[in-house]
Formats: sequence, structure tokens, C-alpha cells
Amino acid sequence: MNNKQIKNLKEISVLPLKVKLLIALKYGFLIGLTIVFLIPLVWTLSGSFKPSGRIFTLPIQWIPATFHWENYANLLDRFPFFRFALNSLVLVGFNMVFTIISSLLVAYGFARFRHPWNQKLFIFVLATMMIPPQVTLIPQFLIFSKLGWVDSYLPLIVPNLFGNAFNIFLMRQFIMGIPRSLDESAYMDGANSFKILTKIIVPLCMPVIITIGVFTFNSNWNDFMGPLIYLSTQAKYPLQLALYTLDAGRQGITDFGMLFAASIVALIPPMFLFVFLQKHVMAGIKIGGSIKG
Amino acid sequence: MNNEKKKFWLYIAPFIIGFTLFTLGPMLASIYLSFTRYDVLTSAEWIGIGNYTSLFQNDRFWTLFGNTLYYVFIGVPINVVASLIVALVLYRNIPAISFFRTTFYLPSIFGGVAILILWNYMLAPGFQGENVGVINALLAMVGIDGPGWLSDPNWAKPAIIMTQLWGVGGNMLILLPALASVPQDQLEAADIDGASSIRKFFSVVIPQISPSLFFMLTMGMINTFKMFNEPMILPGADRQWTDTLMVHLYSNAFENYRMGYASALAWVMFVIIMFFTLIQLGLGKKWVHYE
Repeated sequence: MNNKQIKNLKEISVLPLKVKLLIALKYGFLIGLTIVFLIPLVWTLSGSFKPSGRIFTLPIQWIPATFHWENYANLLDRFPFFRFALNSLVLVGFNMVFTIISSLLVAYGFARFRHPWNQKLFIFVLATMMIPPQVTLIPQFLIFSKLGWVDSYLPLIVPNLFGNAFNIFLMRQFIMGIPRSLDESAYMDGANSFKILTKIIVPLCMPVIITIGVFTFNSNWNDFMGPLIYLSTQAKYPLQLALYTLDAGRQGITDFGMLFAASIVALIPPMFLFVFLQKHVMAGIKIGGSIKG
Repeated sequence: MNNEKKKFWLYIAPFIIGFTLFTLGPMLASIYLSFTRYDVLTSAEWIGIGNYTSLFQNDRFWTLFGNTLYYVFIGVPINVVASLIVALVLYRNIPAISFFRTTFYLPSIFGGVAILILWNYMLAPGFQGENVGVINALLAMVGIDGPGWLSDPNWAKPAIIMTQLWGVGGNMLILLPALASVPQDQLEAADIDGASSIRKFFSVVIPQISPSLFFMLTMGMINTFKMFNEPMILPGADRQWTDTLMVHLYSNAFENYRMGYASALAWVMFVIIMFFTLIQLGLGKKWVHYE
């Protein structure tokens, strides 16, 4: 292992031959690995432009001879794609707003208000992360079915009104880092605690709010088990569950080109979010990583 | 009660209410249900430990328990080692590093159904040159006759582990800052002592990043015990080859409405996960190096 950081190609040119070879080898390995990692995406993308019969033929045709855009057009005609995508966005949107607001309130309570039980209750909040969701899954389902909420979005949304332990933890740590003197001077100016929260804490918490927002978006966009358990009317399905039922063998549809196109489109929102909010997500993961590590 | 204490309760109230309604209450109900026969339509009937005995006598439970252990004890370590290799290659600031890091991280944000459906087609074994998925097509290019993957009892579980390897970017992201924090002076001291690269790696780097490795192994284990999406969307030709305990729970509770049996299974899974987590924590004390 050579310990010097290689910052640009000029530095490489003055290195001895053995080191150059090592670098070439490392780059070769890296490029090979990168290709392996990209192949699934490239193959799917190319498949989404092919007629169904051409996707699985040998040798692989990486660039389709003609681009069959109709796979994407068919999404809209034969599969109520916008409907499913809209369902997903409704679920994701409510959950993002509710999770952020509820976690923020609870985190603010723990970060700013003295109470003899504050510490103990906070440790308790952390401990609840250890409770495996499968032990509460069945009674929750029974409660929601007694309430007549099955086949509605309520069971998938309402639990998020009450904060999520991990998000509470991230936000509380963040709020603790904001100087109390800011709260106090606002208090002197006559602001009440809620006003301090909305006018001072929230604007300063934006980085962690964005991080939690992105995590919530991804986990809800990709959620499969929740909708599978609670939704039975197909028109209410979010995109991922709709894809699952569309998948060949489950409904006898074998339009692979369209299925590939649908899957590609389903990957776009998380990718979009990643590209635009990359820095925040990475920063948030660092916060998480340092406490976990 | 003074004002500040009142406000404390007011702000944390959502959590207290949510915990009582959606966690504590259901947990108590779940314990009770696990001792009953309950099919939702007729009222619950107390059957003592009947669910637990029929669970342990059920061959399917043991098979799926075996599958779950396979994913946990073979899949998770492979995943951690793979993410370590990727992180080691990517942690230095070499030219075009952000392109490489993004490429490896990107697949890990594609959770969900879409990507697993695509894996199902990528793994298509093909028959006489027809319906060949990309994996076997590539293997054919280098002259390897690819296995049947999900249609082969020996390859179905490795196939699922392979699809998870595509997501090593998430773990890589935890390891990159850990590797960057390995103290240079310790590496230089090892250099002066004439330590080889391999020696340095195992005596300096590994102990320094052991908390991250431990975190990844523990979280990976806990999450893999609950694995659900992969066997549901990438089932083996015979589902017994790939299904996990979570699938067993789902199909009993929500397909066959055996709520009592499924609740018993949930608690057995809880005990299994606790047991292995405690072992993991105990072993961790021996090899994890904290500052």
C-alpha cells in the first residue's frame, strides 16, 4: 500500500515504474468493478427500449437497433401509471410531512425542556428502536381492521404522526448543537416556546430535516410490505405494489419491455433526489455513522 | 407542575401516545394472541402453548429458519467483506474518485420492488439460448455455462445474496470515513517497524475500523433476520429454497389468517434475534477496539 495521496495525473508521471504498475492494476480493477456494477442498469435501460422478444436473446444487444419508445407510451395506455405514481407520491408526501413535524416536536421537547425524567425517557426512546416491528404487526393490523381502515391509506400514514425514534434521535442531537442563547434572546423578545421552535430552531435544523426527508421519501417510495398487507383495491396501489402485481407470472402479462420501462421510471425519483440532495444525504449519513460507529 | 415540565410533556406527547397505541398495546395483545387460535372471523380461543408446539413441529418452520440463518451467516459476512474491499479501493482521493464513489453508491438507493423484479429477469437462466438473462449471457461470453440460479436448489440462495451485493454502496459509505480516520502516525510507525502491507492491514487498519465493521455486522444481521422483499419477489422455483421466517409470518397471518400461530412465530423470531444479537455483542467485546 502506498501512503501518499495521489491528487492528479502529473504526480503519477514522476513515480517509479513499480508504483505506476500498481496504480494501473488498481485502476484496472476499479474500472472492471465499475462496469460490473453498471451492467444491470445498462441492460435494463437497453431492455426498456426493445420489443419483448428481443430482450433475452444472445448475444446481448447493448444498444437497441431501433429504439422502441412505445414501451414507455404503453405505460400510460395499458397500465394506469400516473395513477400508481400519484398514489405513491400521496403516501410519501403525507409521511414526509408527518414524520418531520412529529419528530421535530418530540426532539425539541427532549432537547430544550428540563425534567427529572428527560434523560431516562430519552434512553427509553432509543431502546424502542430495538423492538422488532414483526411483534406489533399483527395486532396493529387487527386494530386497523376493527377501525375499518383496511384498504385505505390511514394505516400507512397515521402511525407517522407520532414520531420515529431514530429521527427523534437525529433531530435532538442536532437541536442540542444550536446555542441556547438564541432561544433565550427570542424569549426576552416575548416569543413563546412554539414560536422559538418555528422561527429559530426549524430554520437552523434544515440540514437534518432534509436528511430525514430524503430517508423518509426513499423508505416510503420503496415500501412493499405495508401496502401489500393493507391495500386490496388495485386503484389504490402505490407504484411498487402495482409493479409487483404487473410482474409476469402473477397476472399473465408478459410485456417485458413495458415492465422494464416501468421499473426504470420507478427508479427515477430516488435517483433524482440523490443527485440534487447528495451533499445533505452524505452529511446526514455521517451524523448517523459517527454515532453508530 | 411548573411551566417547563408541562411543556416537556406537551412536546414529547406525540411519542408517548404513539408508543402506547402502536407499540406497547400491540405488544401485549401479541403475547396474548400467541396463546390463542384466532382467524379474525370467530373470536379468539385460548389454546395455551399450542401454537408454539405446532410451530416447532412444523417442518416448514425449520426449513425457513435454516434459509434465514443461511442469509444471516453467509450473506451478511460476504456483504461486509465486499463493502470493505470496495471501500479500500475507493477511499483514496484518486482522479475521478467522485464518479466511482457515486457509481458504487447509486445501486444501494434502489430498494424496493422494481429492482428486485429486474433482478428476477437478470437471473433468468435461459433454455437453449432463449430467454437468457444478462448474468448468464455474460457468463456465456466467457465460456461459462451459468447455473439455473433461482430454479436450482443449490443456487437459489446464493442468487439472492448476489442481488444484495449490488447494494454494498450503503455500507461502503459508512466505511469511507472510518478508513479516513485511521491515524497516519500508526501506519508510519508500522512502516518503520518494517511491517508488510498485509500486516499493517490486519494490525492497524482492521482494529481502527472495527467499530464500523461491528455496527454493519450487527445491523445487517438484525435486518436480515427480517428479510421479506427478496424471497417474495425473487422466489426460488420451489419457495422452500428461498423463503424466510418473515415470509412464513406473512403468509400465515395475512393469507391464511392464522393470527395466533403467526403471533407465536413473531415472538419466536424476537427471541432468536435477541439471542444472536447478545452473542454478537458478547463476541464484539473481544475484537472491537474502542478508543
